[in-house]
Amino acid sequence: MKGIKRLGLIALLLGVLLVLFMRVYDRRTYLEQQETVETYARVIASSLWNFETQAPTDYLTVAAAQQNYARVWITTAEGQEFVTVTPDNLRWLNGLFFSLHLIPCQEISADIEHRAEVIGRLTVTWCNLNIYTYGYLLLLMLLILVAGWFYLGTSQAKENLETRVKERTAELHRANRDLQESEQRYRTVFENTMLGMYRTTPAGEILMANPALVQMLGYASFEEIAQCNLEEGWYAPEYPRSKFKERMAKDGQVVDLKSHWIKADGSILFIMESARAIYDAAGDLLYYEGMVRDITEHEQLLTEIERRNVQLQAAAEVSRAASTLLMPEVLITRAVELIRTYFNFYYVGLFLVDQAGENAVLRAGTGEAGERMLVEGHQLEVGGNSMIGWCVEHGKPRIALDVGAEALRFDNPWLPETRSEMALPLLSREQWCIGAVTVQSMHAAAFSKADIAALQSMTDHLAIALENAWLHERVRRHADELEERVAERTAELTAVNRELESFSYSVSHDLRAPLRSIDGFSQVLLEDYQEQLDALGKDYLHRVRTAAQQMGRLISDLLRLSRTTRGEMHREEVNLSELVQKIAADLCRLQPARKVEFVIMPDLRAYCDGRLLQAVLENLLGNAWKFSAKHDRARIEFGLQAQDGERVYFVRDDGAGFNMAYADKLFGAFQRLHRMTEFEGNGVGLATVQRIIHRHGGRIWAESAVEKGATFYFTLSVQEEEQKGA
Amino acid sequence: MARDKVILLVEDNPNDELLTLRALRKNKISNEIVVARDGAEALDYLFGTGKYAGRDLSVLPEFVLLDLRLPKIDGSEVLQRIRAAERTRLLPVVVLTSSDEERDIIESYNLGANSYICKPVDFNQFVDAVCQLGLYWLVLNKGLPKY
Repeated sequence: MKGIKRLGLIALLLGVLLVLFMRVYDRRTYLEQQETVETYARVIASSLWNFETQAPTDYLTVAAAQQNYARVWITTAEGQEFVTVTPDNLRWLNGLFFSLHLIPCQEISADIEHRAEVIGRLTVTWCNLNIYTYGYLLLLMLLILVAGWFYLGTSQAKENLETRVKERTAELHRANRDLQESEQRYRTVFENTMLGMYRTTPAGEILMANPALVQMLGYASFEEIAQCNLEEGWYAPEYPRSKFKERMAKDGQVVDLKSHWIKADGSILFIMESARAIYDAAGDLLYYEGMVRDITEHEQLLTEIERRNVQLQAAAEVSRAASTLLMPEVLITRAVELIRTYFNFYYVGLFLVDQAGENAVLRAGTGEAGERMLVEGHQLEVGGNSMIGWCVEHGKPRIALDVGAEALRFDNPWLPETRSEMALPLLSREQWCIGAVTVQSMHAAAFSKADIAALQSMTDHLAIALENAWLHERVRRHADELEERVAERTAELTAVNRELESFSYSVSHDLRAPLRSIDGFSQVLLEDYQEQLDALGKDYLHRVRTAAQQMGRLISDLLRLSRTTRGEMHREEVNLSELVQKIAADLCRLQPARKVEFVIMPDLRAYCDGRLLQAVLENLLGNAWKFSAKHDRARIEFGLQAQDGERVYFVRDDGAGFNMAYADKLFGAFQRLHRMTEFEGNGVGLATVQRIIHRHGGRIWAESAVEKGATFYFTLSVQEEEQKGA
Repeated sequence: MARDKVILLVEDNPNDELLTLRALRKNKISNEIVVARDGAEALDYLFGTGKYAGRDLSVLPEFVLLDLRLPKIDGSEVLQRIRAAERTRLLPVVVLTSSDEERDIIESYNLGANSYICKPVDFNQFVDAVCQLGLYWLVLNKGLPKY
């Protein structure tokens, strides 16, 4: 405030100084301008001389422009006036200042002479808006400022006070109105809300109760409800008011406290209340103020959900039992126990129809009653005077919500507490009734629709599971029988095998000994008695010996044949080409005179039993060697060819061959296609070969024509193929 | 050939016995040949029991020709007993039998047979086999030093 005042004073002082300075400055310029005007007058006078051609206004314009702001006019001797020139932007300032009379107009006149004759007069009126003019302006503004400020300074204070009084008043008005509105709103809420609202004293006296609460509790009016005292049995015994007060004392408020309240008619109301304590200024507890919500439906819904949950759980358990327990007896016992436990029934029993279809026989029952009845062999006649009997006969559920009213009922002495009962059929896949489940409760009307539906679906499931279990049992029995039979057969086969083995063992031992004697003693005869024997006798003895030796070989071959089917196979990777090479070398060594060319495909490997394959190759190559003996030159080939994606090995010769008409006899034991005198042999070799190939899971066949040679083809198992592939 | 070298032939078949002896003789094997006609007799001889009670046990056969199929006690058991007794533990035993069954061969070697020979049906081959056998065990083979 003070600062501004001082600033104002300084400004005023400066303004005065500026005006004084301007006055001096103005005086000086005035004199200078006087001269200038005279000069102009002369110029104009000279220009007027040539007035027609050159307008004096041009000069005047120049003059005015140089004066910057002037009003200029010329009065000629003839009384002619010339228009002044004024810069537009200064016109309003001129007017302003002239009208305010703040700036005196200056006027300078000079005679316009022409040829020493006055022909007119030039008058220049100006308002020099030089800096001194601004000084005036500044001063004026300062004065206005100071004056205004002083004025405002005083009026502001007054105004402020007034405004504040007004505002306060308005505020009070508003508050008052709000309060009224709030009160109104509260009232409206109190009267119309669905929530129950109350005020009660700690002693239980009811100060206020809104219509919703009155209605909630089943009273006719507030007056009626006001008769009650909360301490005297409004809260149900299991939810005493002391709990409410405890919470209140502890937290100063109660939030979402669930209670049961007893309604006017004595029924139970599920509520949830929130309340707070109201104190007076002295801090004494005045009353509780609370809101109450009726959550009866909510609670019922919760209970229902819980029940459903239990049902689902029970169903799941029964299903689990049904899918895991494959023993029918175990399954039904577990199922009735599960149903009883989950639904909290008094008794659950399961009947199955007997084979004759006349009676439903109890097969599982819960508790002691169940045990007793099972021991007694409890059964009910199908179609007889019992709910189970009816249910089984009709394949439909029978429900008695009050057993007293059910005429068709067997009054079971073991189950005296039963108040409601239902019989549910066990229907097979083909809708056959295979039995029924009885469910009994100690409460009347114990089964809701949902219960019945849940139990029926459970029994349906159970029936199918039972069928499955029976089926499974049957299958298992079959499997057991089969296994037994397999075991018997295996034992038989093992015995036969053992016999066979001991037979061949005996053959090996005992059949050879006499042959040796025959051969040996024939030789002894030939040696020791050659003097007494003539040529024929010796020949006979030779024949005896030959026959004995041949039989010896036959026995050896037979033994080898039987050995190929016995004993374990040891598959390994075998280089067949190398085997063939060795066998070929042996053959050549034994009969070096023969000219046989061997063509062996190199490095053919197979996954097989090397010892057995050696026997195969020995036989095949031996045959090729043998049957090509009558030719001067022979060629024996061993190789591999692909046939329908199969690896086919072959042994080929260009020997005697055979007639394909007898090809089917080729591999039979003791089958020979050539006469003994042509080619020796006993017909066991190819039989042995075939057995070995079969043991490997392969096939063997031959192609030939008489005197065109023969080719023997064989494959080994798929397993071998895979091994090769890997 | 040294005459003090005894050969024990265990053979129940008289024909085979005769032929074996003939084969041995034909091959000029003149050693004393003791013939046992079953397993029990063979053991009696080796251990000086029964018929051979009181026999001079210091005389051990040079080798034993043992058939497998024998009455009373069979060949493999005889072999077992020979190997079990300290005195005969290292006695050379040649199994000479008609069987060429694999299991017989394996079992014999498992029990400690020194050799296994299958008697050929052909008598000439048999003579050959016996000859080689005698030659090998009596002449070529270096037995344990005698005490």
